[in-house]
Amino acid sequence: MNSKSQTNAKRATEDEAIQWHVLLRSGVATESDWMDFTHWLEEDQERNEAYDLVSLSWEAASEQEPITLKPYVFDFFINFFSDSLRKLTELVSAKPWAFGGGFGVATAAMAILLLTPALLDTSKTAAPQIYATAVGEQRSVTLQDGSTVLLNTATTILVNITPQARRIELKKGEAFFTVQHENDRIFEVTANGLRITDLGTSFDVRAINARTQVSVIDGIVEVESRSPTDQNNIPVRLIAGQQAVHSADAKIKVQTFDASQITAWQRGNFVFKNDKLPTIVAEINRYFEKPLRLDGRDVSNLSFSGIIQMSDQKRTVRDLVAMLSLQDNETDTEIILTRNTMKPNQ
Amino acid sequence: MMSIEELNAIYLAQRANLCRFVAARLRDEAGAEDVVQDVWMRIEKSKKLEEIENPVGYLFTIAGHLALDIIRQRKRQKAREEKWTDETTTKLDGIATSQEQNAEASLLQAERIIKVRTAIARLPPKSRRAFELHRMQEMSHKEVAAEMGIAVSTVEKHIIRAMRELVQTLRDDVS
Repeated sequence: MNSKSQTNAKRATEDEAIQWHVLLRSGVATESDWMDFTHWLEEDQERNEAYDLVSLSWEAASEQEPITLKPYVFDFFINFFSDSLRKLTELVSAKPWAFGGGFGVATAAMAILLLTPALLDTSKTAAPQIYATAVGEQRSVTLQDGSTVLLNTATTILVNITPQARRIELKKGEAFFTVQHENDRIFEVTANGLRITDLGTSFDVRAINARTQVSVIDGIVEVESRSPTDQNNIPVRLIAGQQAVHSADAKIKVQTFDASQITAWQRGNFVFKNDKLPTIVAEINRYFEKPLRLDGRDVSNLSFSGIIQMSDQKRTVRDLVAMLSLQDNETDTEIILTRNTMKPNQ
Repeated sequence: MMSIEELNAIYLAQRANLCRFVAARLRDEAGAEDVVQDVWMRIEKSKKLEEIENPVGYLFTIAGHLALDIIRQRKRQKAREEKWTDETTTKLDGIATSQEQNAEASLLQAERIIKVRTAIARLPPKSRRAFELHRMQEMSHKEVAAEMGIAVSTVEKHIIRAMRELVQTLRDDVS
């Protein structure tokens, strides 16, 4: 059997498993239904695995957000600790060479000693919390210190607030921070290879692919590259109206920016200032599942200034098409934009 | 209406079937006995006897849940073992980063939730409504049919459609 027909067979089994699952959950399944299902399972282990996938998908459909780790952290640690200990002991007795011969046992003992304070310490620290938005979704989060974070489309942040520090990791997307200043507790945001320390302010951080952009609306912010290869990782101080741009292997570049453009998303708008169409399309595509695609070089050279509403994609496309005299062609997977050929070029 | 005695009688009559079903799910006959014993512990504690409309289905559903818990534990255990070997061969500080790993696991969960929500949001409105009533409000197909004013067979089609979408979305990352 080639791999394609194997995949097809697998999909067919999954579909049978779905039909079983739906029947058995319908509320009217009888004893003989359950026994027929049991026989079906017994015949083939792959069916059982397909049913695992279906049941776990069903379970996943009721998972809730936001997720707090707190109740699990302690359990997790205890499990991890005893597991690690057991495995370490096994490993050391089975493969002493892995730890440098006779030093194996000593190393293991040291690792255990090192673990103990770490264990005590974590019971005091709060567990990180995760907040996330789906494509097209925006959400406001008030942190326990009173600072607020506005999450833009397709964004994930990890928040870790302890009595010593407030640390936030922007995993992806864009977030706007309004920080409650505290003299003795730093507020730090990390994104890609960049560390941003707030000195009492509001600012926007956008981390898309490897490019990170920090825009300060109010107050002062310190930005520093964390990359060990970066020779010039001296902190850069940004004041209101300044923006730092950082890519994977470039130095931090400081420039000025237009605040209305950066904060437009908070008002449900796209604001463009003489931006090229490819840039505009990339920006719009962050907010909608179905991507826009430009077809033809002539269309890529167009640029546009103005405000477009982002409330729904049909409207956004309609406005864009009307203002730039384009043509749109929607397929199942994308929306293709071309130069309008009906009218001669002006 | 169902008394605990009646349910007990049904449980005893179904014991052998339940064992066979759980053994098929777990591929483990000895373990199945324990699970079926657990089923009884669960129903003894269950406070909503009066809500049980299909007692046989109820017993099998609980058994299925308990089996799934064990399957999930096995998968986690396996994943952890694989991860452990990967890390110990290169470095020993895997332990110090366990909190990060935990956060990472939670991040995966957050991403999964987003995927699920997106998949449900993408469904045709009627499929979505039928699925949500059935899944979140725990309505039977018949109840969903009455609520939406459609045929029971149509409810089934909507739910199959929703499940296909979910399985498609989660195929690579439920564990």
